[in-house]
Amino acid sequence: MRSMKSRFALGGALGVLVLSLTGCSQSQIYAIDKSTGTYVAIPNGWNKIEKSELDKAESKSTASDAAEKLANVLWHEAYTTSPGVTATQVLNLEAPVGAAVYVRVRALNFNEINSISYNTLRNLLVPLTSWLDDPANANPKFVLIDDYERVEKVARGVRTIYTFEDAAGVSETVDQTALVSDDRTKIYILVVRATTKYYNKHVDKLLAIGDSFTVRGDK
Amino acid sequence: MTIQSRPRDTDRKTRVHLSVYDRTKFLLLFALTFFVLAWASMADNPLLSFSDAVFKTADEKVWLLVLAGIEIIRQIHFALAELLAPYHGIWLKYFAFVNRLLGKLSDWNRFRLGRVIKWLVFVAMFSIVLGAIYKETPVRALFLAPKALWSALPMIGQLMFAVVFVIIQFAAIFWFLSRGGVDTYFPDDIRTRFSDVWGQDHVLNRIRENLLFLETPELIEKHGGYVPGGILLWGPPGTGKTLMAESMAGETGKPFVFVDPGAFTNMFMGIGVLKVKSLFRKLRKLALRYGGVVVFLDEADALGNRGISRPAMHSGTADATVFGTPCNGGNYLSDPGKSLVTNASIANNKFMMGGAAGGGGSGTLQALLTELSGLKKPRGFINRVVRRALGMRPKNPPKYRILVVMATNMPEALDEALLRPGRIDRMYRVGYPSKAGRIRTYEGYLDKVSHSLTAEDIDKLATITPYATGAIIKDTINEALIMAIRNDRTSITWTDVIKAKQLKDLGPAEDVEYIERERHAVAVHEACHGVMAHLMRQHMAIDLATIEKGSDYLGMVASIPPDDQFTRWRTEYEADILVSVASLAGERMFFDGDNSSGVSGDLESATTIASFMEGHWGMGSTISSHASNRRNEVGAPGGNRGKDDGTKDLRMALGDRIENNLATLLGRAEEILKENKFKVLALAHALETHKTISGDDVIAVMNGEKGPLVDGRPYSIQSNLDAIWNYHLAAVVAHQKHERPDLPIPVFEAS
Repeated sequence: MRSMKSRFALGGALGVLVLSLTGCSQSQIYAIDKSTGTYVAIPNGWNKIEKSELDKAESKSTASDAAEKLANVLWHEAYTTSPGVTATQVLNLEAPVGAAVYVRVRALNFNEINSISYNTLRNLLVPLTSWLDDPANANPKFVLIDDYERVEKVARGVRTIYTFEDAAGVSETVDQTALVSDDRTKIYILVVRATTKYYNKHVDKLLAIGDSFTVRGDK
Repeated sequence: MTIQSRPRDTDRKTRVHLSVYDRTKFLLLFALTFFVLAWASMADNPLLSFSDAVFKTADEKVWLLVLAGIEIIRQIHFALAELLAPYHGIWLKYFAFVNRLLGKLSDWNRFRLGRVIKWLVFVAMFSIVLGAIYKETPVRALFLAPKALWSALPMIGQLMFAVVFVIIQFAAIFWFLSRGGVDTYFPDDIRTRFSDVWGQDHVLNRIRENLLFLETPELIEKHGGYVPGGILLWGPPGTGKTLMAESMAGETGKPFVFVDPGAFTNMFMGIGVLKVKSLFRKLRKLALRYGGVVVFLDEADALGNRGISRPAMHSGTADATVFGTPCNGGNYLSDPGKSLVTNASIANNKFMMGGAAGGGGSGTLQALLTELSGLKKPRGFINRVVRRALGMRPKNPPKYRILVVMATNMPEALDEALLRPGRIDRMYRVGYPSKAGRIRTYEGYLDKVSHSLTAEDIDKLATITPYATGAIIKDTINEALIMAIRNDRTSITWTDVIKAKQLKDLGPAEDVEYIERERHAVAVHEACHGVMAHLMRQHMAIDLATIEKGSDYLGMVASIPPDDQFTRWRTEYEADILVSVASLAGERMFFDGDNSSGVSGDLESATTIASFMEGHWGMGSTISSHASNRRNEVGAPGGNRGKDDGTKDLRMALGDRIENNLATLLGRAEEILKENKFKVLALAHALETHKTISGDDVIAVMNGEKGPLVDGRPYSIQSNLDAIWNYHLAAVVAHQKHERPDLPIPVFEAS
């Protein structure tokens, strides 16, 4: 009789397991591009900005090489804490409402391949090295929080965390990771931006996004 | 008391309880599949935690959960049916038609239906897996699979080669090892014909019949018979078995395959089997191409030799190991008598003779048996595999007309299964040629050389060589030719042939000179045998007597049967024993009770014959067969346990009875020799004078006549006999004192 009970118990346990699986969801959002082997984990509840919007926003850029760069984009995605943040705001340097994450993989052109360096990677958004070399002419709120080398399986570069004041005078903290593939054909970028106030409040969560940035390369 | 049985399914009100395995096996399978998929997700995304992987899989593979859910419902249904009789009853009532429908299908149709369903399920599962791999719909993925297989072929080929390489190595080694030992001859390759085989006409006629059926099988097949497939030629060595096979190859219009005796002896186990299979594949091919084939396996005992080696018995010198050196006692026996003694000796020395010799190797004989008469299975890859794949029944094998001829001089060493009809249909004994056969053989070989022998000479030669085989006759004539050439002649004479025969029978003399007293002792010893053989043994004629020392004897008296005789009688065996024990009786009589060790071989022969007479042939005081008694473990009669009456003597132990018989015959031998002591001394004198004399010379001495070499007439004169007696007395004294005799051996002038 006991064996019959145990049989029913085993069958029941398996049944409960099956049923419990149907009502649960994942703890994070995984931004993944398998073709370039790029992975980022975003906290649950963030809003994704569609690729078409990002493309549209970038195409409006007035930079001379904007069209070429857009054409070389292999993958990009953006997530924000606030649903009201637009693609343009993500791509600009204005401090977003809450926080924004932008991840991008782009092929490098011939000139970039020959000229890219760690400093180039640091100066991706702001002239960071100039500000460091000449503090007198630097952004008034510029503070370098962290700067170190990141080495991934098929790429290497720098992760830099700094604070500066945007055009509107809002203090903004940026956690940028820029890596170049070992064959120097691709650049992998992850930018986590937030107002300094928001950043300091959610520093662990935002640092975790940068930590999760993983590049495995082409499959 | 009725026996309580486990209730039948139809008697139960609830469903039979499932085992734990049956209850959970599908759920476990689904769980395993689920976790494999979760693991695959984790491998796909390095950031994915286990819990997220589980949730992701649950989200993406809903079908798996649905299946698991169905299985849970099914198990709940089973559990209710196991616990609740009304629930189970409802199901039986409303769903029994399913079983009835299935029951209407025949077993074969059900099997086919089941097979189709299984294949469909497999294809469906396979396409789902492929779909998951290719990120395509299952149906589309199914069509992409061949392309993937095609692109993967080089790698699959490499893997296959790696796996098969070792097998190929083995196959190649075994293929090379299984070559050789088989020669194929086609018609007219061999010139030997039946007319070249002499003295075995009766066997040749039978073989001719076999070949006739092979050449024209319809002669027997249209009447419902079949061509006999196997012939065994057995008989003593040198009787022409191989020559007969060679002549078959020459006579037949079919291919002839000769299998070397050592072909099946191999270094590695299993090669013999491969060789047999390879041989019969070849035979079948030849049989189909040429309508028939003859295969000859020489020394077939090599295939299934589980017995002991048996030495040849045709030669007087071949039994030396059995009879011992001193007197070559076996020569006083007839050939069957020698055969008995030798066999008995072998039986007691199995270990020393080599014991059970190995055959062709493990499995070789069995493979041969199967090939000779195994399953008549369809053959050929296309026939067996391709036809069957196309739904066609393989064709039955055609009639392979293969005539298997085996030759051996050890038929008793062959496996019983090999000799059964269907494998070996006919067994022919190729025995010693008859006298007519010997004459024909002598004539055949003598025709090839120059000689002066008359038809009477050849007839006499055939008479005095009763067990001469073709090989022996050929050798004897060749030896005679060598002797003639050595004497600056090119033509063979009668003397050459007789000397050649003696040389072959006795071996070359060692040219050892005995000292006088030993020469006389040996001469007396042999003379005792000779006189006794002359007087008592009517079924044998003395061939020659000699005191020339050979390699394994000091002297001998060799006898031959004048007629081809196939039965033996008590009186003949008694005569054999008398001849054997005559040496002991004579030595004791002539040397004042002394005797030499040279009688050992004689006594062994006499004892063996006496044992068989007493224990086997009903020639003694009891009737029961000792062989049968021993086999059935009932014990021999005797042992002095009977009542103390007249029958007691008859029931003595076997050994005692044999001893009594031998003692009686020894007494008789003494009496006979005593009555003929001058004849013994006369024959001893002739032997001392001429060393080797023929049977006719022995008769001449006995009868006081002139022989071919010895003039026996002086031995009928009393004064000469007195001189011989005095010489003998002097030799006896010399023997006792170990010195030279006072008197020289008397010399008689031919009258």
